[in-house]
Amino acid sequence: MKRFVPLLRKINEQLNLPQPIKSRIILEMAADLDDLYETYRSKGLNEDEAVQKAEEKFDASAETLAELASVHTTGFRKFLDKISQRSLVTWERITLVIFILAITVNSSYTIFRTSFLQNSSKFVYPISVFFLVIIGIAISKFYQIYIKKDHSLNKLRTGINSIPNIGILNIFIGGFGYIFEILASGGQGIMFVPFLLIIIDTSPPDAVYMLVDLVNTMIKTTSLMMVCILSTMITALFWFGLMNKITKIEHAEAIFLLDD
Amino acid sequence: MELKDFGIPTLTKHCNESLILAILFGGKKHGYQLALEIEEKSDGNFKFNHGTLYPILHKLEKEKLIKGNWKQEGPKRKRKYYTLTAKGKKYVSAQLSEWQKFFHHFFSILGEIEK
Repeated sequence: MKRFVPLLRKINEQLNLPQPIKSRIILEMAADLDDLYETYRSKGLNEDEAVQKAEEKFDASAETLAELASVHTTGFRKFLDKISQRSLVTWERITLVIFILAITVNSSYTIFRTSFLQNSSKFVYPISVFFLVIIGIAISKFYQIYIKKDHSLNKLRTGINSIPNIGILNIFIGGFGYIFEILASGGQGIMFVPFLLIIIDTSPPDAVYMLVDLVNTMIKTTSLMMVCILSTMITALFWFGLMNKITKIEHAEAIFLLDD
Repeated sequence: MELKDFGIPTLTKHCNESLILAILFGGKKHGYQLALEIEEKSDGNFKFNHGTLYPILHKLEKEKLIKGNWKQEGPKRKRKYYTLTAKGKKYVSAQLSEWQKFFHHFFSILGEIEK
């Protein structure tokens, strides 16, 4: 197997799969490569020629490896991989993090320094509870990976997919809550401008109360969306950060196995 | 798999899967043995680059048509052997009749040339 370590390292780089699936595939390939090598040696080729012929016959092209990875990847993971691979370049990652942090800090200031939450929709509460769950999972994974340094491959990814799953649930709750508040207000939120114009134009006796109701609806829905978006962005930051570290650990583990 | 699935874009894929399943009908094999036997039995007409076998094998395993088992070979080597499952045996038998239908239609069109 040692004679094929450079090829197997290259496969390890290109094969986008978690451990232990990746190691098992590489072991399977290593055994077949050895057999190919022995076949060419028995045909009279010298060692270097046999290695070269075996590698040519093997065909570990990028397309083949991508197809192999797609067999083992679920639809949801393919979608998440597409998103996380979008910012592979360092400066893109840094820019994205700064952008998200800026929005997060600004939104957090608005939410906690004003009476924002007091007038917000009740759907903010389930979103907040689920967000606290996400924070709990992220803290436990952070503790496992960075402080306890428990890099056991069978535990590394445990629970990590709960973070984006609960994040998506929060988005659905936010969307549902938004529609609910609009409908509960009699559709005033959607018809804000026309409704406002009707009030100004017709000047009904209870115009002030109607305007107050309208503004309350807008505050409820806006606050709900702000909390939803803020929790989603922080969830995404947690998930990207942890997944980057997990991928690096798995990659290092595969290199270690190849060196063995 | 039915005859209607034998579209031109997927023909090669179905052909490769059928060849692998048919070879496994004869008993358990690992990846290298599969590629070798297909090449030998077809007198070199069907050749696999070994790397291209893996997506097919793993897909068939995921669909539970074949099953992979690791076996220790010597002190430092493990080998993955594949066997046909009961579902796989039924599937490959059904495939045989579909392929026969396919080639019947294929040659009935090609046969027009001789007329």
